[in-house]
Amino acid sequence: MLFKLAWRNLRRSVRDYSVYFVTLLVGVALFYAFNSVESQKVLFDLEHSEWFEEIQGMMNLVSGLVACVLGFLVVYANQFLIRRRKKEFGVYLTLGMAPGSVSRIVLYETMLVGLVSLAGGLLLGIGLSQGLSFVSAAIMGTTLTYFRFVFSPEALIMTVICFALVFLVVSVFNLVSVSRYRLVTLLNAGSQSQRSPVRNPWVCLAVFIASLAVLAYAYQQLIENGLLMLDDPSFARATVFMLLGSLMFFWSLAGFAVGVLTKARGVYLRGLVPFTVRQIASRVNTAFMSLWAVCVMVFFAFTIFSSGMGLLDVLVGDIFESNPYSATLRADVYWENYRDLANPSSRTPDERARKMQETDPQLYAAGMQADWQIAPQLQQAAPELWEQTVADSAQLDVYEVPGLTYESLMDALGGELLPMEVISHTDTNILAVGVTQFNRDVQMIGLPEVSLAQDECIFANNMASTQAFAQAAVDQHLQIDVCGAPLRFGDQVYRMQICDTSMPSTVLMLVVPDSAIDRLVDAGAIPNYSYLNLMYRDNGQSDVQNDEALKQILGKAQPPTPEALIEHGLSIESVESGEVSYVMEMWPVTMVVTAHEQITQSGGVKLMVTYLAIYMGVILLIATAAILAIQSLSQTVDSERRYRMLGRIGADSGMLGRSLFAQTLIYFLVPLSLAACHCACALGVLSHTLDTTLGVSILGAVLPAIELLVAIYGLYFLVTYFANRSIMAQALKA
Amino acid sequence: MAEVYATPILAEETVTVRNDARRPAPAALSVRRVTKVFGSKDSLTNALAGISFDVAEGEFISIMGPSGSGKTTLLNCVSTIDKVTTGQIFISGEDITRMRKSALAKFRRDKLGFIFQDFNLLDTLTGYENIALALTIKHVNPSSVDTRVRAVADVLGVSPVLGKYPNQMSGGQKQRIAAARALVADPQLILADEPTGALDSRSATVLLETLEMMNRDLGATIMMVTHDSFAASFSSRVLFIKDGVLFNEVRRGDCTRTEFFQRIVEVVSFLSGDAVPEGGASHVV
Repeated sequence: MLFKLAWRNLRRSVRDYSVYFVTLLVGVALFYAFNSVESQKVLFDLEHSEWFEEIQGMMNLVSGLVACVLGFLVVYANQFLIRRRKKEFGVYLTLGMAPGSVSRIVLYETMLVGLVSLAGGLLLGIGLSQGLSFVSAAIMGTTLTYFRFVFSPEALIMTVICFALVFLVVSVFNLVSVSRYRLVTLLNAGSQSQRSPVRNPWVCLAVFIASLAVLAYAYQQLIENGLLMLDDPSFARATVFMLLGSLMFFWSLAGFAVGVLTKARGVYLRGLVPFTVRQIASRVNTAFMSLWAVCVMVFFAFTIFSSGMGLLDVLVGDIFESNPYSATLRADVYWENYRDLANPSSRTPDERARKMQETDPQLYAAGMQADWQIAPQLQQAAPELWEQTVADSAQLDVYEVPGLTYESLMDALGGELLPMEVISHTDTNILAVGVTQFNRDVQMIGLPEVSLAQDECIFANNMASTQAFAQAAVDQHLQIDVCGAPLRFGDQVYRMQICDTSMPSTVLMLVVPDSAIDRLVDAGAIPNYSYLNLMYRDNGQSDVQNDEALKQILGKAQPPTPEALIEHGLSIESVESGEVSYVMEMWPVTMVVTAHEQITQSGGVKLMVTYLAIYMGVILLIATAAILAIQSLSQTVDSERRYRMLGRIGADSGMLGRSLFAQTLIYFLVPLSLAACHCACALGVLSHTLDTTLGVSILGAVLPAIELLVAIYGLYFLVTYFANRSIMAQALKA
Repeated sequence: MAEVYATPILAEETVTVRNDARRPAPAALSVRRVTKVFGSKDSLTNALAGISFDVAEGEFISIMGPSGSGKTTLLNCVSTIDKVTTGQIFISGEDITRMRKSALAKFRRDKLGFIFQDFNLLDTLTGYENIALALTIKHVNPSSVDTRVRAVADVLGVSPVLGKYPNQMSGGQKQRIAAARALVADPQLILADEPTGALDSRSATVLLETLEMMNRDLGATIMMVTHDSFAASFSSRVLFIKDGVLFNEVRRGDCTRTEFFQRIVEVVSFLSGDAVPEGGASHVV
């Protein structure tokens, strides 16, 4: 009997439930889809699949947060439904139904909606996760060789458990709120009209102007100081002022707008305009905190989403350009401490060689004997494997030029500035390579060779933020001194990647005649570090197999002997498990980077960042849109009497419908507009900062973010508008 | 006294005949054999059982009757909120029973003014805006809205509270704002539903004097539904209905308000007397 009643109630108030239902449906679908990412790994080959596990771990973490957000939303939406039906409950109680039975009706209704939306959401989610497989493939830069239906029982169980918990909480809330109602207030629910605060228009005017000033100050702080350093006090100040300014804005907006509009009689005294304006004003005045929260959340969602996606381009955008070689082996010939490695600042050419002789005479002797050449060491260790795997190799020895600092170049170029993010110490020495070695590298990757006159040098550079500096050296025909010999900059900046890494990272590498390097070596210099760039042979093996072969070669050259393991603090288990197949030395090989690894990894990073951005972004947008929707619906319910009265004095349903449309639309647009201003400012600054330091534009990611926002808010707006109309139509009939 | 209780049986027929011919001056309101049946097949309630009457232009008429007599149904039908089952209602010559729903809304805002028992002001709007709304929904030129609102507020003595919100006003002030809203658009007919129902006696008197003044000085045609004899005594004619038909009518004529009040009270006490036998008035006399 009670169940039947619940079912009838539900069918009667389908429109009221629409926002609740849509939120649940989308929430469940997203929850399932993003928790089933791991199941996609069956579609990809092995090295990709590791990434799916990592992403899944991340998604599970985020899902906890998402479950809380969705739980809050469901409870919030449900409170609206209960409130709307106070009178109905009052009638049940008056008719003598036991409070327990009323609670049970509510419980059944919650369960029914829960089951229907859970089932619907899961179906939608399973569909969505099939689509995500293709998205994953596109992001990974591969295609699905075969497609098959993926289904994740774990995700299903997790979704069901999470939402069962959410409904449990909702049921408890409902039981508590139903049992707390007094009969009198239930029956009179329809005739209570809520009071909205009326604020002094002059105070509103003052606060509104002040809020604009505060926001302008926050924007100005942001524009002046940029957005890069999050711990910067001026950034914190800008944030606090932005939050404060927004709050003041929403507090005073309605009072200000009404004050201005009532003065403009020609606009104000038309049709239902006074009513519409007052409705919105009263809503904005009561709910200014929610509007503020929505604005801030949309701002963060939007900024995080688009800058995340933009940074992604920075991280993995030029992944093929950044990895022109099959593999790069790097030897950090000698360094005392990390600063020494990153910012070499020797005063004489032989400074480092002397130190190495003192601390590691054996390695120094071996290196000197081998002339610091890496390839012969590996070839000797595993001649056959080397022959099978490596087609070509070229070594690039990088020397610092003592006394030729970045600072001295900046001075010589008349204050042309280098971004501090790239070169953190201006007393760092410039690094140089010999032109013959350099040409071997460019030849290997099919770029034109460089010819230099005896007194000529050029910069090799492919990092955007230092390009202007390199060009300035060309334009001003800058003259420098390398070990006592004057060199003049030739008329080009050579764009190339000197080693495999995750992004374009050739920073102001000086290419000099071999004679200049010879002079350094004669003066006792050893390389700061060396790159050995390899090209794999076209031997019918896959990149993975060739990478494996390279590791075997290294295992022969630098075997993980017990002594070596102890010296490097490694365990014997790591060797047995295959995790470690060689140990890293100063020389000949400190580090290995292979193009295949880099490309796979970038796909994984891209996938993770993209999914996180979409998941968090969509949930935040849904949360804010649902809050706006429910508040708009609540107001329409509270205004039933007003619509009835307007209908009586002759406002036709067309007029009322238009007023309702305007109310709903403006209520949705108010927080979005301010958030849009904030976003425009923040993204403008962010885009500028990233553009100057990393040379990438994040604006490309803004468009998908806007599309997402329009889609979600559009959906919620339409659902809300139609639900509002049906509430009003019911009110007019009564 | 006998003539007081006479039932105007023949009025119906004569008026109908006159209606078919060209009428030189149409009544502000003509109700013709209106019936209204509520309920389903099993249980029918005749809220109105063929009621007919006229209200001349410039008249202030009261409708009285006991609970369940059908006076509210009558008001709803006249105010086009409810539909009649059979019969016709003419307001300044137009048959509102044949109008479409959309035309009715337009008709209401162009031809009718409303005063409700519970004021029905919009609590989010100031007094000024509440009055102005009756004009703006008629698409009156914004520049003339202001002058008309201020003029009517001046006449009804509510100028001081124009800038206030309803919850900052007294009940009497609210109802006079409502009266101003009903009057401002210059309607053919003002319909008042128990306008004094929620007012204390002093405010009620002020409001009734206001309505009387609107009728006398401004020529407003008013139809007021009330169960309060005192309120009814401010009008120029009182119609009594019972069980959905016109039972009696009393005209004020030349008598004073106190005398008129006495006569109304007599009819009311007769109407509500539980000794009334089946068959109507003639038995009692």
